[in-house]
Amino acid sequence: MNQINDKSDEAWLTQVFREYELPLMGYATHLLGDADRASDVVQDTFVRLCKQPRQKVEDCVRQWLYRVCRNRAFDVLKKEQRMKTLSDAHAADQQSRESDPQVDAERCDDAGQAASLINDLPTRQQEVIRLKVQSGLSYREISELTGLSVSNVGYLLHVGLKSVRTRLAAIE
Amino acid sequence: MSDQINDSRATDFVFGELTPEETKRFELELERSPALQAEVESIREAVSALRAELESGSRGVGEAARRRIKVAIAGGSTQPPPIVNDVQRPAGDRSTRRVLIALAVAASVLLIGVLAVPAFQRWQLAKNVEPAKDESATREVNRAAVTTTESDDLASIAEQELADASTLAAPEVGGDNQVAGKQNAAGARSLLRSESVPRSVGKDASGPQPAGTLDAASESGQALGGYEANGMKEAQFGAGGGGLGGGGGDLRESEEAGPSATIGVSGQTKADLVMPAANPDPFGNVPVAKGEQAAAEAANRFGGARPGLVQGNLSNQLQAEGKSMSVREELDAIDSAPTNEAIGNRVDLYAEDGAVAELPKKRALMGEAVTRGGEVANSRRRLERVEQSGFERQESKALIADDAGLGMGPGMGGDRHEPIMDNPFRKVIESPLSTFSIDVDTAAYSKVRMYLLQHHTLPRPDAVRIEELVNYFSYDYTPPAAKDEHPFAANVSVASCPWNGKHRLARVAIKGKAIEKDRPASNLVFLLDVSGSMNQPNKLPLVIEGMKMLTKQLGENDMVAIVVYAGAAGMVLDSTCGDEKETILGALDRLRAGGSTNGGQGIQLAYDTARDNFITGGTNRVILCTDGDFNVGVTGTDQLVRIAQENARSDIFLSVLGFGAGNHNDSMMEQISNKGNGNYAFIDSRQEAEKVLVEELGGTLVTIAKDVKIQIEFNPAEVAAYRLIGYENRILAAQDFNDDKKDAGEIGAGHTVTALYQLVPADGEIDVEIPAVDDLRFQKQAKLSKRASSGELLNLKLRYKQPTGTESTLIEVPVKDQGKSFSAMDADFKFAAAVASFGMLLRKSPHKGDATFAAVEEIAGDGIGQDKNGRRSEFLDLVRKARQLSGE
Repeated sequence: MNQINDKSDEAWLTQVFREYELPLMGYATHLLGDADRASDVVQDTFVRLCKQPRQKVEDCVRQWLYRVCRNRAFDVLKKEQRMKTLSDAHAADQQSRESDPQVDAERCDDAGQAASLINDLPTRQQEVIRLKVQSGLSYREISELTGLSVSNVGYLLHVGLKSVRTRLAAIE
Repeated sequence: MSDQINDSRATDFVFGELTPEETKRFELELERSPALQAEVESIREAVSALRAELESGSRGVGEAARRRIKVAIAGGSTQPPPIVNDVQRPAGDRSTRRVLIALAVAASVLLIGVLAVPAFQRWQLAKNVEPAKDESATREVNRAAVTTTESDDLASIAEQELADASTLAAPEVGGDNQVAGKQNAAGARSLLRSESVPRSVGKDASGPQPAGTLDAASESGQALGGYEANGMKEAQFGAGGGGLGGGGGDLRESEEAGPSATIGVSGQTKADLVMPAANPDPFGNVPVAKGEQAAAEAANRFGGARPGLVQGNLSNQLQAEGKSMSVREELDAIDSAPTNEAIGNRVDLYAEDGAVAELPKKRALMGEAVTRGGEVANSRRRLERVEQSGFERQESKALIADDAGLGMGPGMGGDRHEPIMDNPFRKVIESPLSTFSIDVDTAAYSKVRMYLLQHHTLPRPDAVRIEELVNYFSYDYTPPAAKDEHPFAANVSVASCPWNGKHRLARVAIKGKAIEKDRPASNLVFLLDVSGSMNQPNKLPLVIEGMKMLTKQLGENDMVAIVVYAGAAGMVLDSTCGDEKETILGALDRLRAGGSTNGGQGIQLAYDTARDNFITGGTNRVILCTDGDFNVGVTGTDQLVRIAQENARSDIFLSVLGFGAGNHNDSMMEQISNKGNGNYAFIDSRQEAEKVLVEELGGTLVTIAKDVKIQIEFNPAEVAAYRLIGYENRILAAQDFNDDKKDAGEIGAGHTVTALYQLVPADGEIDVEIPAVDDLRFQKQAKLSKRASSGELLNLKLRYKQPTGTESTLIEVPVKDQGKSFSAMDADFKFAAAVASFGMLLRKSPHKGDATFAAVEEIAGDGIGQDKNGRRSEFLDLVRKARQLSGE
């Protein structure tokens, strides 16, 4: 039975992957704090999606992906409290290799500017902003995903954006 | 307090989260309150700045993850567990593997300067690999081959194509005489079509002679490192991917690649996948050899080469055994290799390179060079940074604000559209003339489709240009007779209006004559945006694909030149005859994205090139492919429009093909194509590229009439009021109609143009809102002429010029209303009405009448006709999707 739909399923999955890869990675990276583990979680999410019957998830694929991604990320975080990963060592390695002064300089420079927009907002606000701005989820979807109420989602966004605007104004 | 409430609603409003009633109320308030407008604007800015930040900070999944996902998508879950090679390698035999690597690398080093053994190579190729189809014959490379005495199909082919500006590396392993597909790594985030073949691995690791077919470009005395090391291959690829990356990314990539060796990746994966940084790289294996000398040599070897497109094949069959440890160790070896030096060299290499796109005379800035490197490693983050580093602070901020990635949907920054105010109803007594320029653009439809089907959001109302929706479809209108003096035929049909039973709907249908065979000689300049913002799967790779499709349609009478622009503009391909397809396709293949966008300079160079190769009496056209995000140099829309306009006067026309979403400057692109006597299509998919560049090529390239204007005079005895549906930005003043200096739209060969009017009949009451004008104090209302009682509904007048003419010709068609009902009309009429109605619904137009998405679906279903190309069915999908999204 899979044979018949294989082609279109494949195209559909590819399409979904293409569409959600970056937003999901952004979200997972935010939850987990580093891209490596985010990559694992996003991979796992998509691999799980591939195992779902298409008709079951097709209409709600966005919610599905975010839900699974979020749950997986929290699983990882939970596990992490028991088990120390190699990520620290990796991080150190990477630093030592990135010794191109120009790249370094740019990195610092840029981080000082762009990253400041969102990175030190409260986690909740960051999460909601990411889900709304980068991923385009509706308030309702965000509410279902995070367990926050719809009005709280709106409020967090509003407050978060206000801070961002203040920051933008300061840069100007 | 009230401020606070407003404030929060403004956020909700920007995100489209207010209920329809709330939205209405808010919009009313918004109109009255500049403070609130500023508030909304400020939120929008913040959102787009944020989106830019989030996008630029986003990177894709790691290589290993990507591969797993690809396999899963290809049906990995339904397939048996990963096929372990029937010939097993001794597990964990690291030392032998190292020996193997060393041998492979040693062999490759030996091969430097070793000339090809052509016969042998042929045999080897025939046995293992079918050469990639579009391998450019003009850049044939000499190949050197070494093979084993063992019958193990342990083979690795590192193939390097060195053109003047490109290095093609295609390490392949042929197992079962299957072709390892090519991975087209144009741009880091390119769309990859990879076909991978199961790879047989040597059984006896202790006695492996490297069975590699090494293709080395001996002309430049360059050889490629041989790739073979069983499970190590992936790691090497990983390192390779990073290698080109130049910066700190490469070890990361390697590490991502490392664990992938533990993953059972079943063979035969065929997938269309976005694969950032899957760039097998000739440098990649050098550090593995720990040979500093080799590294240096490699660097030297490639020092003069310009890496263009790196093509490679990833063999995906990995061992499912627990080899990760050994791979990890190998990676440690990479770690200890003189990476920094190598990075330095690579960066130099890119700097030396100038620019991938061969910007002549333009030494790439260091920054740009790094940018390119960064892209190849798909380090978008770094890309952004490096890009930004080149600019003034202020500009860089603008870039952040502008450079949003994929547009998300309604009201969410990024894409820029001109606001559209729906045409109002007009009383015939007050304004009997309706004048507008025709428009054959279709971009809005593709954008709407992208919003609905890809982003699952309703499009922003301002993105919906109804005439472009209607004109996207081809209609079966009567073409002009063969001997007709005019290049197109025009007809008007009238029926009852489906969304307001009391009104009539008039359709103006224009059909341009088709040019089937004798397309005039074309002098085309592809002006391609290769700036950093194009570095997305739905942009540059699609541009390249589209241009390839177009190229394949061309013949010996046609000339093609390719100009690219990023931070600077440059000629990639000087004007080349259309039958030298290999050359053109090869040049397209080598394009990669990077840098900022200086559209102005590119446009100038493109026009200059077109002028240099001007074909009198032929098609002279610049085809601009961009996301429209011009952020350096001449950026003012006015200036660009002027350039296009001036050149249109000297008969070089412009086609604008828009790509991607997010920072798509729709408004500018529409304007320059209008002024440049051109057309504007938005290409969101391969199918759309096919439609515009293959099916409708004649219409896209060959203009049969220009400055086509329509003026309709309504008969006040028959029509009380009228409204032109769509064409809002094409409205002309009545006196412009006869003014040949006023520019208007073009019709291409075979194009159909449809315009719809909603009419309020004179015998009914005017049930639409038209603000009253006071009676004139000094003049009386004009009297009706005798013709008013002729029963004619309206008089259609058209003016057009021959493509290179300067004087216009007038066509007049008086029209009577036959009193038909809508249901009696042909499928085309119904369908066009359905599309217009759909557009009004999406625009939330006050004139949408009784229309609902359900009604649109019904009418369109009725008008689906034969629907040969499936576009009308697709429209129905859009309607259903919009219905679902709107909650109707």
